[in-house]
Amino acid sequence: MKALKLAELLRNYGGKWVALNRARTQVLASGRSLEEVLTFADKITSERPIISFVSPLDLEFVG
Amino acid sequence: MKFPYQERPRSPSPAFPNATSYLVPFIPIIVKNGSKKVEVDALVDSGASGCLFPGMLGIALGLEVHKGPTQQITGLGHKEITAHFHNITLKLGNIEWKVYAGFSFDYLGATGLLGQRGFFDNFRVIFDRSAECIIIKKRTIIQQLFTMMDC
Repeated sequence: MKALKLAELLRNYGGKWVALNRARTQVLASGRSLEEVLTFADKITSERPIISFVSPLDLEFVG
Repeated sequence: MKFPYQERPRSPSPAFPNATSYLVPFIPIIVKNGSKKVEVDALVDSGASGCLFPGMLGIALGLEVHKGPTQQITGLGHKEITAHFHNITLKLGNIEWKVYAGFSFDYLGATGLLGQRGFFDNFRVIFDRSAECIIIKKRTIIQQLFTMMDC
């Protein structure tokens, strides 16, 4: 199994929330707040999107 | 169940001048409260004590987040955040289970953290970084008994 390649799709969304289509090929909505993205996603799609936060590109994350 | 690591974008830095992406063990998980549900990419985080989600996600699920009992949480840099705990349901593949999870309005840096309490205590987790996948298996009672004998 190879990693899911999302680097290029998400490169312009550092520090933002995104709603992805189920195939993860398209960003359906994005915004600075999760609330904003959930609201947009509800309006524009009938499928259940996958919500994700894109870490700021200049920061490494340690969980 | 097997999930691929996710390749996410990053910028090069003085320490890693050629790095433009990194691999991270995010998995898609459904967070539910009654009939309301949201699917998120959550970080499988063996270093987290429990499961933690953004406060706004709790509100989207209809929780009165601020009314939940609190726990202060810390990580790197000694910054403390406040989490409000609620009983929710998580669904991974076709497996659903109840979790007492934290919700915080402070910055988490992820859409969700799946930690020791509520996640690792329910599953066997294998991080196979070289194969770029995470293998997650539900523990049966028999497996739990064998594990107890092993450890």
